[in-house]
Amino acid sequence: MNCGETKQALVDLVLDEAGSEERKQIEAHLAGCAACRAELVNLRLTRKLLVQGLPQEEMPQRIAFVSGQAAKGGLRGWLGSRTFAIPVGVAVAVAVLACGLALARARLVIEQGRWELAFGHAPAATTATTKSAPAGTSVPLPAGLLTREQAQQLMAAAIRESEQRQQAASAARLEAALSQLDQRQRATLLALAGQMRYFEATQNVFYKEASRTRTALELVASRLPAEKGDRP
Amino acid sequence: MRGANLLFRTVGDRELVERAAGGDVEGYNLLVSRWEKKLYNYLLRLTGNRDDALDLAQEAFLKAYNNLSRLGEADKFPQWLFRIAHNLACSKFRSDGRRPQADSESWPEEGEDAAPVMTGGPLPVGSSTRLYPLELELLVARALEELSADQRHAVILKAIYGFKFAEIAEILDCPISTVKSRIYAGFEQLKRVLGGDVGAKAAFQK
Repeated sequence: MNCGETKQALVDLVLDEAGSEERKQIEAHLAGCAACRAELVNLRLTRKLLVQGLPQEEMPQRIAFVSGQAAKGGLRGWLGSRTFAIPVGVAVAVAVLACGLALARARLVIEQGRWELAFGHAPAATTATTKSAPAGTSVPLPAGLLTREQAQQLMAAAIRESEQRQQAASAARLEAALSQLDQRQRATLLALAGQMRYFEATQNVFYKEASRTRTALELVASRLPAEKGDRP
Repeated sequence: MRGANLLFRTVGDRELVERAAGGDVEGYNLLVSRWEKKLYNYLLRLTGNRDDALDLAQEAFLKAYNNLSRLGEADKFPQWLFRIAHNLACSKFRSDGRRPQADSESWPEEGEDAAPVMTGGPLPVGSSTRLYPLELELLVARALEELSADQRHAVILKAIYGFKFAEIAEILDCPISTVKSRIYAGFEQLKRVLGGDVGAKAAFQK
């Protein structure tokens, strides 16, 4: 590598673009070339001053998003999916229960005969009465009919119990959702407070910047006695 | 995270980009907080106006979020973001019908005394051997002003933000060879101002 080739390679080196192979070649050349070593010092200085002379400013305000997308997947979405999920879940449970009930009832009627037969409580004639008799008959009720009523009562109780359990569960979920909402609100407030502090800090930075600028400009102006008169 | 233990773990841009692409806005906000200052300062160099820079930065982040699905490789997020911002800034100036004002510096317009000093002849460094940080800023601003806008953008993206040549080519939408020639020429010119005695004075004054 001669000096001409090295010149460009040195820029690559200073700008972190030199590969390891290129580095080795540069080092080999630098070892015996004072001019290129001086050039490298110059280039490093240039980059250093460029970075120093272009300081990064604080932002007047930070950027954060709470977009429609956020609402969809975030708070509203969460609440929506849960609160609507509860009634739907209850409805499905009730529907299943009702179906089960209807099935159970039908089987009960069918199985009633067998049950009675099995225990010998009701003769075949009573079974016929059972089928034809309305629920409100005042005739002393045979065992089969009583059992049916009892079964209905039991089922009603079971349904009531199940509904209560469902209600308790949905109340608990609602409670949880509300407390989460509270937490999120608190988080939002905290973030807001943070932004306020940040805002104040940047205000201070700008104030300092402005006074620093004024001082420096006065300084520069004071070093220009000849030009001073020309300015309005 | 298990139990109450908080684990320290570095999260890469790549992971955040993937989270954001899946609709995780908090993930995207983390990504924004990593890049906003850099992007804002780059836009400040381009526009020379803090309000414009902030507006454009917000716009760029929003546009990037809405188009995240089009970003093929998550690793390319930075240059992709800068490209969006660069294009937004350029099209803003086209639509405003104004050129980016002295985009190498970012002084508030209201300082009436600033203008004559900034546009005068070669910056006088005086006989003093000291160069104040602000004098250096003025010097760098002056030196950058003498480059073409294309050279300046490429040099800033390289020297300040550390993008690779190939990444700068993506941001500025031009061939790598063009980027290289802009940077070599621009850096050569800057070296003449900053690399000489003046630079040495600034560097060793402390």
